[in-house]
Amino acid sequence: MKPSTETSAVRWSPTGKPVGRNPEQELPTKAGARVEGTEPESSTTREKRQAEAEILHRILFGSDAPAEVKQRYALALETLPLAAAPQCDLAALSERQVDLEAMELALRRNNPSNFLTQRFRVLCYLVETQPDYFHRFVNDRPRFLAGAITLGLMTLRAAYKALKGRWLVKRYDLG
Amino acid sequence: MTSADIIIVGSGAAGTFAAYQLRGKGVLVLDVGLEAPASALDGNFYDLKENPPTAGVDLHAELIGARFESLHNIFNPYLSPKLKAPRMRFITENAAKLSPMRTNNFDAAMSFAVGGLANAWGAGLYRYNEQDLVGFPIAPRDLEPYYDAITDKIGICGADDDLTRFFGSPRGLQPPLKIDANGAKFLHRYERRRQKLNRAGFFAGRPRLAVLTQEHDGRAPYRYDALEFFRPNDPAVYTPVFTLKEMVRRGEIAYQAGLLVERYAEERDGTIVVSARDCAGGETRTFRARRLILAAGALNTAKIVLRSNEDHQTRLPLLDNNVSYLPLVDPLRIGAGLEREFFAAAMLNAVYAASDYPSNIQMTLYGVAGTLRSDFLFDFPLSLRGNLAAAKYLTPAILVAQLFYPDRPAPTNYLRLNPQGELELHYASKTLGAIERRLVKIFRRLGYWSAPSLCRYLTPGNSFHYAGALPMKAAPAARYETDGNGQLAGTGGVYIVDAANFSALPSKNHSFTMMANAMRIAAQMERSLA
Repeated sequence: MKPSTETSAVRWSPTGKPVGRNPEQELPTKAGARVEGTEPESSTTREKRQAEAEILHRILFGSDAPAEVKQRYALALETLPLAAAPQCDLAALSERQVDLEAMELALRRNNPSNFLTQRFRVLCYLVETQPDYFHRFVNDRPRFLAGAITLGLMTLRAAYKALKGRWLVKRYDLG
Repeated sequence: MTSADIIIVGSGAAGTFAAYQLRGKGVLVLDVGLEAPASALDGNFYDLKENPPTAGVDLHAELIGARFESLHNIFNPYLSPKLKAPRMRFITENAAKLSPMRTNNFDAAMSFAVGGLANAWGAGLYRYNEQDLVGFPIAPRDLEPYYDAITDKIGICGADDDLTRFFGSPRGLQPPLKIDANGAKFLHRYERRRQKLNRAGFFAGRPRLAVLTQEHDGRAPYRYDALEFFRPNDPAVYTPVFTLKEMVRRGEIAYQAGLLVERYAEERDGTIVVSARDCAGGETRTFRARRLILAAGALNTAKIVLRSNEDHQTRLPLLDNNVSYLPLVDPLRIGAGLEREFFAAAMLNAVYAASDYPSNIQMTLYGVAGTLRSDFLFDFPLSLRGNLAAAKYLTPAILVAQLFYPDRPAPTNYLRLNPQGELELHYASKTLGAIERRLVKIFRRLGYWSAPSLCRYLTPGNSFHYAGALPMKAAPAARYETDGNGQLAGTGGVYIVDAANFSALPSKNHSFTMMANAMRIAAQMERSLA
C-alpha cells in the first residue's frame, strides 16, 4: 500500500469502518455522477464541446467566443457533473436555426436545472471573470432611461420567447 | 499521553472565547484545524474584474476555481456565497468524511477549519435580551460583562438607533460602516415614515458587525473592497482565528491541530481522558485533563457526547433558524450606476415586532452586487439576453431581506447517533410565508416592489445556526442536559459552551451570545477549579 496521505485518509474513518472514498474530493466521473463523456476525453469530444461553447456564446452575446473561454467550457463540462443532454445535438439544432434562447426559457420554467440552462450558466460564469465582458454584466454609469426601456422591451421579448419556446420543446420532445 | 488542566475541543467562536477567558491557565485546544488558503486578491472587487493585474492574479482561479469549485450551485442545491468561492471551500472541506451525516431534510454545514463556521459568518453580533432568553436559566445581566469584554477585544461597529431596543447596549461600538446609495435611500424613506412603520411593528437601523471602521488592536479599518465572499481572513472583518493565533503566539494557550476528538471518559478520580484520532496517520491519541470543554459546534459536540455514552437510541433536540429570502426592487434605482466601494455582507437590519405576531422576526438587508452576477442571473424570469440586461440594470435596484425564524424544541426535530456512527438529522418542514406577506405590504410603503411568490424558503440548516441538543436547564433532569453553568448532567467536569447548550433559538444571530456564554461558563469553571 502506498504511504501517501490520500491512502491514510482512505484507511481511516470516524466510524471505524473504511470509508473507501470521498466523492467530494473526486472528479465527478469517478464519484459516479451522471455525466457526459465518462470515457477519457477524446480530442473530438473536446472540439465538439468547444463548438457548443461557440453556439451558446453567439446566442448570448452575438459574437464569437474567445479561444480561452471555449477551452475552459470544454474543461468545465469534462469536470462538472452536469445533467446529461437528451438525444439532441445542439449543433444540429443551431444549424437548423432553432431558437435555443426560446427553448432554454421554456425548459427553465419547468426545471431550472435542465441541461441547456446548466450549460448557459457555465458559460456565463466563465465569461464573467474576463475583463472584456465587464460591461456586459455591469452598468457603471447612471442610465436610468436606457435601463428602464431595455428591461421593458426585454419583458415583451421574453413573453414572445416563452410562447415560442413552449412550442419548440414540444416539437423536439424535450419536455 | 498529554496532560493539561483544561482541554477545549474546537476553535470556533465558542471555543476561542472559552480559551480567551482561561488563557494562561493550562489550556490545550484540540482541533482538526484546516487552514485557509492564501488568496492573491488585493484591491477592489470591481476594479479587479474590470482591469485585472497582468501578473500575479488569476481571476478565474480566485473567483471560479481551477476545478470550477464555485459552480457548485449549477448542479447541487443552494450553497451560501460565503462557502462557495474557491478560497472559502476550506471551511467545509472534508466535513462529509470527518463527520458523516444522514438527513431527511436538513442541509447541515459542518466546519473543521481553524475558526470553524465563523470563517463564513456575516459578522453580525447582537446581544440577547429578556425576550430572547425565555427558556434559558440565565438572564441578560449574566451575559452583559462578557458582551462588553468581547466588544472591547474585537471591535464592533454599529449605531445607537431604533434597533438598540432589540440589540442591546451600544456601549463601545465603533461608528457604523459607510452605507451605499441603495441602503441610504432605504433608511431615508424609513426615517420619513418612521412613526407609521413603528406602529405597524417595523423597525430598521444599522447592523452591529464585527467589522472595524477604525483601527483597533493593530488591525486596520475596512477598505470597502467588497471581497468578503472571495477572500478569507480580511484583517478588518473579525474571525476567532485572530484571537486564537494571538493567544498561541503569546504562549497563553497550547494548540494542537490535526486531531479529531471522538470521545471522552471520566475516571474515578475525576480525570477526563479524551480520545482523538490523528487525521494524518489515523492512530488514536489520548489526552488527560481536569476539565473538558466541548465547543466543536452544536452538531459535533452532541455527537461526541453521544459517542462517549455509546448511545445510539436517544434523540436530542435540534434547533435551527429557518431562513427565507425576500427580494425587493426599488424601481427608481433601475439603471443606477455601479458603486464600487461597499461592504458586501449586511447593509441594514430590520425587526418586525408586531403585537399580533407571536415573536419578533429579525431580518438582514443585503445588496447583491458583492457576488458574481452569474450566481443569480438565471433567477430572473426573462429570456437569456433579458436576464443579462436585468443583471446589469436591475442589480443596483435590488435589496434582499433575509429573515431568520425562531425555533424551539419539537419532537419532530432531532438528531441521533446511528449504529454506523453517523449523525442522523431529522427536521420537519415548517409552514412559512405569513410573515413575508405582511412584510411585502410594509416594503411597498417604503417604495419597494416585491411579492410573496418571489420569496425563497431555504431548506432547514442553511442558516448555520444549529443549537439546542444539550440544553441549559435550571435543574437538569436528564443526562443530556446542562446546568446554568454549562456542566453536563452526570459528569464531574464536562462543560458545553457552544450553541448545543442553548435552550431556544430566537430570531437573532446567535454568535455573540455563544461567545459571551462561553466566556461566562469558562469564568464559572475557573472559579470552581480555584
